[in-house]
Amino acid sequence: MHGRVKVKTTAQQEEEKRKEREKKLKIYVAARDACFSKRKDGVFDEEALQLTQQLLSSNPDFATLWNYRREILMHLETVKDKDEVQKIYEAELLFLESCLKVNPKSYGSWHHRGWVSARLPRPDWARELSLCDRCLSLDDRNFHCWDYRRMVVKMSGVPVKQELEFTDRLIGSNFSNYSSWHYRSTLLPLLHPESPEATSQCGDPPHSSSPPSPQTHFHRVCEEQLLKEYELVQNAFFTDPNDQSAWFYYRWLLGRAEREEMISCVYVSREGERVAVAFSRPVNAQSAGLLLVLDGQPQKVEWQSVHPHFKHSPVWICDLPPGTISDITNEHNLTVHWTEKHTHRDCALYTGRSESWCRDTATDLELFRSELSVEKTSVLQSELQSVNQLQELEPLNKWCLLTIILLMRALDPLGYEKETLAHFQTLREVDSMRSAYYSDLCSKFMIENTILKMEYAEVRVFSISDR
Amino acid sequence: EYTLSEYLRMSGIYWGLTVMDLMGQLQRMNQQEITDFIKACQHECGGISASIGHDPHLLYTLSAVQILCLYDSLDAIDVDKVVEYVKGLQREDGSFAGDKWGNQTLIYHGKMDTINVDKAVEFVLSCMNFDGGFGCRPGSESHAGQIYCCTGFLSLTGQLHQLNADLLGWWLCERQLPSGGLNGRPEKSVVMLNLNAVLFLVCRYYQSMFDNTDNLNMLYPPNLTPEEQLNHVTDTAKAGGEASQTSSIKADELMVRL
Repeated sequence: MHGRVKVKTTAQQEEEKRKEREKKLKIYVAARDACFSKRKDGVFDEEALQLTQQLLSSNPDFATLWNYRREILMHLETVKDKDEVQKIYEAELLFLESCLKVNPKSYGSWHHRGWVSARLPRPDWARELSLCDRCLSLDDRNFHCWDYRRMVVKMSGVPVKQELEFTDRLIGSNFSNYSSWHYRSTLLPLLHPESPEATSQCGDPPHSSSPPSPQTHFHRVCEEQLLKEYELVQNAFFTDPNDQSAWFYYRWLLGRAEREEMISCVYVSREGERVAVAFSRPVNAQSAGLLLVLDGQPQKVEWQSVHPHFKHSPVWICDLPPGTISDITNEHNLTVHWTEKHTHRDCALYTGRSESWCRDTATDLELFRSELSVEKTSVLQSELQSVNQLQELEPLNKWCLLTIILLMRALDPLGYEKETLAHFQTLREVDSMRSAYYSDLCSKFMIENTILKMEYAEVRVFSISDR
Repeated sequence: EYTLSEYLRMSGIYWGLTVMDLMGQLQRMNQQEITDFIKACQHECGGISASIGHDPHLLYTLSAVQILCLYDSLDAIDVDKVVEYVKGLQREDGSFAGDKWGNQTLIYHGKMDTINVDKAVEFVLSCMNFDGGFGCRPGSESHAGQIYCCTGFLSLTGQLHQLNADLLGWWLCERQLPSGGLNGRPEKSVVMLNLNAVLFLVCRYYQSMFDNTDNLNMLYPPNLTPEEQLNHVTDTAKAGGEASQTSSIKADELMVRL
């Protein structure tokens, strides 16, 4: 019959779809097999470029094809002149842009783009940076793009200050900005390193060649800039107390303390004729340059780790030559040198004593000093005040509560004990999913407090049950 | 979809087999067919590809090794060649071309001493971020998958003391969303529940090991090979919240069962 629209049944539609998929699959498989066979034959021609392009457009995660494509391009480099190569790679960049539009999170595409940019006779880094700007404006959590941006910045020498301003813009306008705060944490130490000479030299260009890792080494930031950062991050969490990025960043800002490295304890035993040395962190005795001096004489000893497998151990033991300290009527003076860190600890073994422990008290060592102690007390107090203000407005905000606890630990662990316990209790209630973590942390703090109290009371025995 | 995902076939097989194994159903899979497939994917250089005809890659070499460990049949491939392949991928800065998965592959073979461990440790530490976590490269944002890899590596090389356990533990706790599932980084949605359950537990495990090994009785028995140690971790993750000693590891039971 004419003029009537033919309505397809569901079954027919399904069948058509299936045929369609089968057809697509056939084409795909044929193209893939053609690529593999060409590559096997060592063919690097135009058709190969087209075939790989066809496949990669729909499947940019097909890593092997990107490898083949790079082989083709490298081959073309050898047979074409510089201008032609420039054109080829520029076309490649355009192709990649279309791939990224479809799938902005493909490792393959980003990696290939990085490879192309590095090989372009005349790269256009400004263009690459602008691509990153656009990509991040669509999704500022795309870590592929952020990593690519870092590469572009490095290759083209974009000033750190400019990138810092870039993060300012993103943080100012977006909520989901963890990536921006993260980037900031890597930029700050580069721009405003705390110089050992004076704290007033902000703005001086950094002279270190290797980038300091924000967590492990040399992550100082000069005071002036630091105060600006506190203001910035406070603005963020006062505006939105549930913006977790700001709170994570704030914790980092407050606490980049480096623990003093030292020999925490030396123990000598006449009976065992041995010396045990404990360190503030695990060390490798060989590279640490441990030296034992007995009554002014360096001793040749073999240091043994207490840890069965690893090279690093917090405790090392050595045996003294037989008879050296066994006579209980003799007094001996030992010194253990940690030459790598230019520190040492003395230990006196008195007459009539069969053993000797030499260490500082936990209080002296500030052993339980919170990591948030890099700042001056005045700064910490001021920060605590601010966060307390917020807590009054938002009594059930967990980020606030935890930050207050950490600040109190840094200022006065024993003095704030009562408040700390109360806040932990509230925390466990408002954020019950993490109550185990809070309990664990609370327990740790209470045990530390018990030890501190013991030292103040000068007792030797204490109980940590129910802590 | 099956054809399109060919580029990760080896890993797909591993994920599938692990799930079958966890459910006690591994015997339903065709071991011979899978072993033959893996053999066909090992290249001359020793590396293993995701599928036949594809290029070798560290990631799929690891998956293949993991599959063979499940079947306790590592001898099906040329193990020495694999070690050589992985060793050859280590760059001057300590990293491995194609990811940090290289360390895991070597651990399975108990051949960590073939690589420059110190340099690798140095590289891993250079990837540590302000939040205590790790990214793919120095400067990259922290990501739970990367943290799993790096923490595992640091544990096996006796470098756990380099972590800030309280800080990282906190960051990891905050991955749990109201639904019970875990995200890979802040303000993102839930990722593969089963993978992340293992991840979370492993990472908390490491934190616990760092904090109070005696209480939890979590020290490795001294005579385990590195390979067995890795499996030991997996068993712990499998046990999840059932062992009463591991009271400070508190994952949602629902997550663990997945």
